[in-house]
Amino acid sequence: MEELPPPLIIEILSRLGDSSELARCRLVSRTLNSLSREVSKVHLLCTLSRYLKSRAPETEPPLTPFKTIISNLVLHRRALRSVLIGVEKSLRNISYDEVEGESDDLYLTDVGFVNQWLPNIGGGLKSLSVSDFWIQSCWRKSEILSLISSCCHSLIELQVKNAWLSVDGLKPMPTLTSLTLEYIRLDDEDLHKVNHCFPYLKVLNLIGVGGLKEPKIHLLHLKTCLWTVSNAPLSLTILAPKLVKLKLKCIKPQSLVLETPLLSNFHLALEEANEFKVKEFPHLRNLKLESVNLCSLISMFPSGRTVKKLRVDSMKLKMTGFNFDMLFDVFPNLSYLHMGSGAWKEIENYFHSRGMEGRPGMKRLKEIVGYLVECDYLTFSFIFSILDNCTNLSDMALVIHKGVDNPTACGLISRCRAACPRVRWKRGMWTEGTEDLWVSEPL
Amino acid sequence: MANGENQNPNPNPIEATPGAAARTITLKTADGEIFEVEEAVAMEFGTVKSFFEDDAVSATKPMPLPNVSGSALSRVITYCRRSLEIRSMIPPATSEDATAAEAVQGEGDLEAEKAAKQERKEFEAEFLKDESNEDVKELILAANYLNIKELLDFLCRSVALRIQNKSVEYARKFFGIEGDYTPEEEAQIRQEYAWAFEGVDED
Repeated sequence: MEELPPPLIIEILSRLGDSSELARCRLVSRTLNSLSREVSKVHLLCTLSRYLKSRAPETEPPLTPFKTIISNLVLHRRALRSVLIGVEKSLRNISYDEVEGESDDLYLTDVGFVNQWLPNIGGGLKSLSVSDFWIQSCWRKSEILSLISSCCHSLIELQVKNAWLSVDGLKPMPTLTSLTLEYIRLDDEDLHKVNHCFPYLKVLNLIGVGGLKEPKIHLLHLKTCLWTVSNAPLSLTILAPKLVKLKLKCIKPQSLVLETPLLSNFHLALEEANEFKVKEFPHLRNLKLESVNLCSLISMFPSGRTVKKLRVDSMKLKMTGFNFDMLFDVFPNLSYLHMGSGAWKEIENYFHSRGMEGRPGMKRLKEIVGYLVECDYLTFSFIFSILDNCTNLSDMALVIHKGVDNPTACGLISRCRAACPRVRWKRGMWTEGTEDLWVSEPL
Repeated sequence: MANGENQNPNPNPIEATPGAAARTITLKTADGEIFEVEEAVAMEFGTVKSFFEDDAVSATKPMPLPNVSGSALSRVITYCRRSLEIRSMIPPATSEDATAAEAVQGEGDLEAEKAAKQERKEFEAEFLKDESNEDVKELILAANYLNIKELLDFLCRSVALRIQNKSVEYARKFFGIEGDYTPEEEAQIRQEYAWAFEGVDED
């Protein structure tokens, strides 16, 4: 039987889970040993079990320090294209301990440590990811960004997690097109340095980045952005003329300014919007809105004539006057509507007290997905009113909470089917914290 | 878990391609088997694609594939056909949003993408279920020769998964390689990479 030629063996070795797997492969034969040196990535995370073992005094023989392993792996590997090092996510949950914090062994954004190996391999590196150990990194500022910008002139993708980062000495990195900062304290209050030094970013992910005062994302080439931000900043601004996809999760920004004329896919989650200055979104097609006060948010939204797919949900139940008619006033051209459990409840309750008038846009609706928390004899009349107004509806999916007993849920679907057989009905079940289940009905 | 009722049967990608319903390309394998393959599927093979783009070769003459056996080609064709079907589950951007579409590239339809991903996962798990290591190696060589990136990536990933967490002997058997270290050399490597063996039980 033919053996696989070296290039194909390298392809396989390159897809091994991480560098410890690769290291074990070196034992297979001399050939594999030399071929594994050609694998262009180093990928190693410190697992929870390794961490616990390293803290257990009775571990014998003593474990090799994680930093030593990394240094040895990347030493002299000028062909490396991708380096991913860090601690597993589970280590984020370890509670703070004075003694632990003083240690250095897992402080990975330590410039002294990174300087031992990055300058050597930085030139060809395309992707770098460092997930630090928060307990050891949170109380000291790292100048690692400056070091990276000095050494890595071809870097395309950078990810740093769980660290306190300074932007002093950060030099422009024109090749970088993707930046992810997660759980970071960043000393760049208004993102001025970020905008200046990473001008060609196409992807920017700021997830739980603190230290911001009046952050303004101003990037001319940005296409995709994910921004989860606390309530600390006074204002949030995004000026991104090419932005197509945005997910923004905030709380109660005093001012929110969005100048993103090409935005097509927008997911906005916020509790309340005080000042919501958004110019028109002439290309908006997919919109997802989550808010405590959907009514106020939707009424502040500029015309949504181009929106075809809308998802809405209420985070907490607050009767705000949010109703079905109002949706179609702002979004008259929907073909798909997805209502989360909070939104459905609000809309249904409004219907039971004030009814439904109907809007021309309802005739354009083709598909509805609704999440229900409860199901009673009134639910059907609400659905019936929807069917009455959405005369071109072809698909409707009702995802009913597990707490509703099966006969009730079945009964609802049967009534719906009987009332409107032209619609394709689908039934599902949901519970908090697990994936939805679709139920196949016998035909 | 009940699979959601598939209310929308996947459109046959062959029929969807305008005017290509009848176009097939003939391939001849190393062991003399002739395969008539839909053009859309055959064009997934980089080698075939460039062969027919290079000169106005008549599509009726069978293209020789001296490095691929009949059984391998049959599996490859099955994979590419299914892959095309799954890809067609994600609706392309419609003409209305031509401007945003170039940039978005199928971003819009989250449900369809999720469904397609799930189908792909299930299909890929089934595909290699009964294949022996030898069969998989043959497929890798075929995918490499035919220049089918997606298939090659999938196969290499699957092999990596197979040899991961297994013993050194298992990997040796798979690659058909003899262990050629002296006991001293092997001990030295084990020591050098002691950290990689920390806490791992070799089966």
